[in-house]
Amino acid sequence: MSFPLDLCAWLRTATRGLPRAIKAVVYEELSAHYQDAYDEHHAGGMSASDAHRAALAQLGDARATAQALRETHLAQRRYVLALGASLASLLWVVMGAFFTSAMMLTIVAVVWLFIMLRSFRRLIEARLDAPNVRLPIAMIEVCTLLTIVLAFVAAQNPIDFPSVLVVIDPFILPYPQLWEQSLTPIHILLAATVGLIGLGWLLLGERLMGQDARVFRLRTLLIGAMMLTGLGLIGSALSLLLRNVTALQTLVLVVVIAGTVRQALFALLFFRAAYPHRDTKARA
Amino acid sequence: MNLKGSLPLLILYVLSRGSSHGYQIAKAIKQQSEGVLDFKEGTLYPTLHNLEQQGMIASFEQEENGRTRRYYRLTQDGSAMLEHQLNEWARYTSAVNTILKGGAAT
Repeated sequence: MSFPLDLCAWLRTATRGLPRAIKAVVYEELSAHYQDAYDEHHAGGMSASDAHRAALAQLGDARATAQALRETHLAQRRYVLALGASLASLLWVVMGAFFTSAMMLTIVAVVWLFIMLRSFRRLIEARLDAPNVRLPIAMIEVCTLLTIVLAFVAAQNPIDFPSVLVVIDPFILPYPQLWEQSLTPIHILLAATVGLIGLGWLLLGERLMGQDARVFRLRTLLIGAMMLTGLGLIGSALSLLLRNVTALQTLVLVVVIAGTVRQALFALLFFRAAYPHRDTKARA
Repeated sequence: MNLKGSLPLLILYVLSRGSSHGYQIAKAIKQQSEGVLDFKEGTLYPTLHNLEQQGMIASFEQEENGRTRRYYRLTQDGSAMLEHQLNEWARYTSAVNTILKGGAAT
């Protein structure tokens, strides 16, 4: 079937960036839609050129269609990647054994965190109407980066990256150099950024409260894990400022457990988002 | 009128009456709303594909006038989702109507 040139351009734009197999299906579907609209207008008395223009106008903006199609069809890749990141973060102990460099381990942990948080935000925005999760996620991301920079400065050892205990979050407090040094402005800033990461998790949990279960049936557990991580991090920041080692050790344990539960739930969430059919069959 | 949030519900509802292809779905929404719910029809397909990925609808191909058409039908999960969303919608509109009519006594 031959199409007018501007229809071909419209279809090319609308299907740009899609995987080849999907592109062919969408191309066929949209061109059939155009043909139906054209036939109807033409049968209704319009001239061929008017019917063509009206049918094309009915389809709307090709770029908006392309963006929405990419969001739909490329989302699975993103969720598979986030699933992999979540599973990998659960294996942090094993992974840690392979990374002799704390800097490398930190970089990997940060990449995992960013992939997960961004995928989570997209998932929430795509499936729920208007929960504003951008602010808490941005808080966690920015403060995580700041924490790492400050930890680097606080260790005062630019050659060997501080022996940071990278758990689920870039949890920097337990490394011994900090305890041997007196409390400096850098340490106070460090405690502030860790506290803000905790606040970010608390806010994220709060924003998800009251949303229905369309995204995730275990949301109560996820929200609980997020909030516990948040509280643990805020408490850790305070215990750093107060130089309370016992409290810190307890809170580290809380953060590790809550963070591990959170990562496991993230993995489940991304699995369900990436493979909705398998999930449906499994439940059936 | 902006259909962004309600398009999936409308699609599920149209498909609950029988299998349809994209053009038929778009036409049904526009006709049954007497033109009030107008939208650019290209945006229908990302929503259809998204619902299919979620297992709410399923597609199949069928020959029609020498052309292969992709039809969509509601799945069991889609029926359950439609029922849930219809209840939610009824609750929502009832709450809005209550406020617009002066609100419940507090």
